[in-house]
Amino acid sequence: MAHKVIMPKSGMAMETGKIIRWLKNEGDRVEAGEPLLEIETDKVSMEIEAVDSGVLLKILAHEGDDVPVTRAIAYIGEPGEELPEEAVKEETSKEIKAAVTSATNIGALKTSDERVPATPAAKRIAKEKGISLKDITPGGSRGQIKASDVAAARAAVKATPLAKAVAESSGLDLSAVSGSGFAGKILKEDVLAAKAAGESAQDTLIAHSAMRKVIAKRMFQSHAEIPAVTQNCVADVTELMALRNRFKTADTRPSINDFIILAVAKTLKEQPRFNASYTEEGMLIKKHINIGIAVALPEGLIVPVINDADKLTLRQISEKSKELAEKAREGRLAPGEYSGGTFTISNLGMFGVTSFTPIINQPEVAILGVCAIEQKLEMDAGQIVRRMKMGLSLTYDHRCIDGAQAAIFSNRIAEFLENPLLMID
Amino acid sequence: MRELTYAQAIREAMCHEMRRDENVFLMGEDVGVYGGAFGVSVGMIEEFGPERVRDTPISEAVIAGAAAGAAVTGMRPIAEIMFSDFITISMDQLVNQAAKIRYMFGGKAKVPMVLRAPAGSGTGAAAQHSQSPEAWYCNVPGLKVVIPSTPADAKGLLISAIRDDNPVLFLEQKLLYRTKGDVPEGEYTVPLGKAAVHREGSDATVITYGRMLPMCMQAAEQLEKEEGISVEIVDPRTLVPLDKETVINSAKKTGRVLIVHEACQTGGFGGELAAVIADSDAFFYLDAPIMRYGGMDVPIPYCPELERNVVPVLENTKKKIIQLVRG
Amino acid sequence: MIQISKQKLEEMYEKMLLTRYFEEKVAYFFSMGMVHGTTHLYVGEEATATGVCCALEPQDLIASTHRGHGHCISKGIDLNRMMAELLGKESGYCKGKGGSMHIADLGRGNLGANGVVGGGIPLAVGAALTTKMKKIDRIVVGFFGDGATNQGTFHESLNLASIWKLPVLFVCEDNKYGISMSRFRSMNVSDIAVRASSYGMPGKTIDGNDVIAVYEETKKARDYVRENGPMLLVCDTYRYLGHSKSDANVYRTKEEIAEWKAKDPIKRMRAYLLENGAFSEAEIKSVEEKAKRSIEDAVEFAQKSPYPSIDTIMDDVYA
Repeated sequence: MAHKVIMPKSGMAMETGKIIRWLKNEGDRVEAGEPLLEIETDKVSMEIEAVDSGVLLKILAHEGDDVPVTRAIAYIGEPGEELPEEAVKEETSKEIKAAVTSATNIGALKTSDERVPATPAAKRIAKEKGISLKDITPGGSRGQIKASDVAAARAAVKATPLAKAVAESSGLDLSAVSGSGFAGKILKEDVLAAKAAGESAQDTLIAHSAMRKVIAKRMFQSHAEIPAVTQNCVADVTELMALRNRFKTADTRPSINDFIILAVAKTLKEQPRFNASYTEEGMLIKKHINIGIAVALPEGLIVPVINDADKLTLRQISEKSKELAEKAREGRLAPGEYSGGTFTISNLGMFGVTSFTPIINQPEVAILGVCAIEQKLEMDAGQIVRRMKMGLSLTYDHRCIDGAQAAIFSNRIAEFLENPLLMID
Repeated sequence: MRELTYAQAIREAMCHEMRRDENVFLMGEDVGVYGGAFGVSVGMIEEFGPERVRDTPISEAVIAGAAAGAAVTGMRPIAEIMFSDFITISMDQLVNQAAKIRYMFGGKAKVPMVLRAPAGSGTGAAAQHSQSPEAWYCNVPGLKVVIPSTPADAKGLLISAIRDDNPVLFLEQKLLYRTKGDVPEGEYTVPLGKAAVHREGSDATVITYGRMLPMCMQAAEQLEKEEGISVEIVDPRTLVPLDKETVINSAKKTGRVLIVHEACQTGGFGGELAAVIADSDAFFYLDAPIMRYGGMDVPIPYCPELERNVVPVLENTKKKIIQLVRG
Repeated sequence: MIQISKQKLEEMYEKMLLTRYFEEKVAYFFSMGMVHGTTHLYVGEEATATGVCCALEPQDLIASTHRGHGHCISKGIDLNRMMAELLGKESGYCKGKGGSMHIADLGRGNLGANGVVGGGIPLAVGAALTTKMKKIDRIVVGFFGDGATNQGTFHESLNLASIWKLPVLFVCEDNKYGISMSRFRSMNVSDIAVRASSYGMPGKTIDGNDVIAVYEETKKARDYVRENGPMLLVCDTYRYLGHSKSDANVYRTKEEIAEWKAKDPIKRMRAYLLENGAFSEAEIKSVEEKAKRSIEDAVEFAQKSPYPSIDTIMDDVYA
């Protein structure tokens, strides 16, 4: 079998060698160790010696050829020996066609002004809450949006109270709901739509907030301990509303609720039994009349207290209740401001509730529920007249208050409301 | 607890290990009767004798190389190079021999040596005696790099380094040699590869080591009082292998990171720390770009006022933290 | 003239042959593109490695150079694993991670070939330090070339070994060139051995191509080093092939190479064995055959062995 002569790898980085000249011709006798050909690498020219002895049977690569290392360039053997197949074909150097890689079209980077510089933390929070960065005012010194800026934007999610309540009861995050109301205000329908969209096939557990846990405990306790009865009556507030409208400016105008507080304060002064706590030994009549006003919050409710309401003027009541309600909504109430109440008023009128059974706020003995003001048509001296009627739902502790007493109480309140001048003293 | 200086703590570590293991020995220039250029080995030759506390000629290459050769054949040498700047003369033996031997030999050998050298500026020793060269050595697989910042850590880390079966570069801080701190008595180790949170905080994370640690602690205390800013301070203690988890968790917690080191900022280890943080979950909690405050990119100057200002200083550190938190 | 046993003579001849055949095989494999990187072949210098290593005791240590195959074979090595290492196989001495320049066999006292000129000399000094501190009865041989005697590590190492009286024998293989730099141009001393006196130790130059002479001198040197501390032995020799596989020998003449080939150490030993009647032609041929077979076995082993898996890349960085 003939011996193959290869282009030897003669250097660490050598990949091809160029044949400069053959020192022997086909048919010549060659001894092992004899110089056989001269090659050139990128570094230098050198002589290559024959590894085997014999006759140079065939030269495959010629002077001037660039041959990759380890490729066969000749055969040495005994005359008449068969050469392998590939030796017969003159090997043409294959051109390695470089893969034509089409240059990926690197367009110019979009320099749209829609990109807002924001920190990674800000982006993450905004994304989680579904707030667009465009809606956030940057607070960073370089005009960048920081995490605190996103938090501030988040607090101002606009939604109707009803929408908020529905969202809370459904356990929906309002900031994830897009509003269809005026200026993007979230309406109840929006919340319901978001809820429907998000309803999954499985039940979802929404953990209680701390406030909810407290409310649950206290409501249950009140319900369990007090034999409560609710009585309803109706007050004609037509005159009251007319009176109210006579106040010149909107910001000094007291609300209907302010009148109610005034009326309740006066009634409690006359009928102190309702401004008390029930004990085994007897009724503990409270020295002060501190009226709590229930305020609905997204997470639940809180009852800020107007202390010594009987000693305040209507204006003072109005200012105080506004102040407390605002503080309550912003979560800024101090503990002293929501404790120490002696009677509670819960107004669901804005929701259109016509009657309900409020739960007594322990350790009080009664709670006044205020319902919606409705238009009613009546006969008066043969004429059909329109009157504004407001329902009052009074829940009382039947251990210490009886129906008749309760009726006298609520009727007196109604009387005050129907004849507001009676409240002037 | 009793107090020791940083230098005394290092000496205590070496003595403890030399008493415990007869294979441990110290070699370097002037470590014998002279007690070391910075007095770290004072008293050791009296206790251990000249066989185990060996004065060498001024031959940094063979100091490191002979340590490697002795380590490969069963000893646990501690080689001292007088100034970290001169490790460049030892570098071939440290990098091409000690660090690579285990891997090149397919895991058959181990090189349990420690190379100690004082680093850092502030003594007026100028450009060739004041470097903080740690970054170069962090790019050498097979080598561990440790920088102790307190006396207690110095003792515990050195004992761990001596007991480690790998070559460990132990860069002491010359301006910290005389600082005092609580150092537990007896035997204890501080594990290599574990960072320390010297101070917990919530507004910003400062990652720092060496001489900059006490300065940053001071900055943090002042900022708490003056600005109500709460700063957390993380000290990696070992640069390689780095305790990435502690670093990343702190960055994630505060979202604001400042890296402070004495070594020149460009190409300094701060770049590695910043990249580790950026390339992690912590990225999504960052509320400001990761800031580095390294030494100025100059050789250390001689004039004291220049020398003082070429490395991070207290006032600037506080300013940068404020900017980080409020900017 | 030290009396050398027939067994020892045979051992030395066989080791020189193994070295020569191994290197020729490696050269062939290299030209076939099977040896990655480059390699530095010992062809022509066999007597130095063999003469020195055969004169050592089994517990003695050596530190080798980038041109280390001769030292490895003569100190005693598993040829199979050595060949496998050159081919980058998992079964190689370094699990394929080290290659030609980092072959080590610590179990047989071989502290490894070294890719840095002069890089192994301080390691040898360190090993000698261990030897002295642990009071072990052995010496360490540090091999290096003529070029390395200009390297800082050579001077620092000889100095330190001298002041601490460490049991290290420094062996310089003067093969006349540091790649293309003739040693007569790289230093202004014509006899390298004179450098020993700068460090207060004896130095001697011997015929590195006479394996018997190398053997005898090493035996004497070993006794000296055990008692007195370090010394320098310079072996006068020559390499036939280029520095590495990238060397086209442009810096020397064919005549020079031919001149040294005429003093070929293996030919000389062969003649010596026959002339002194210690061996018959048949015995010599049988040693040659045996050596050839060992190399063929090593080749077969290496070729059959698998490459290390990519999963092993991160292994053994740290202990």
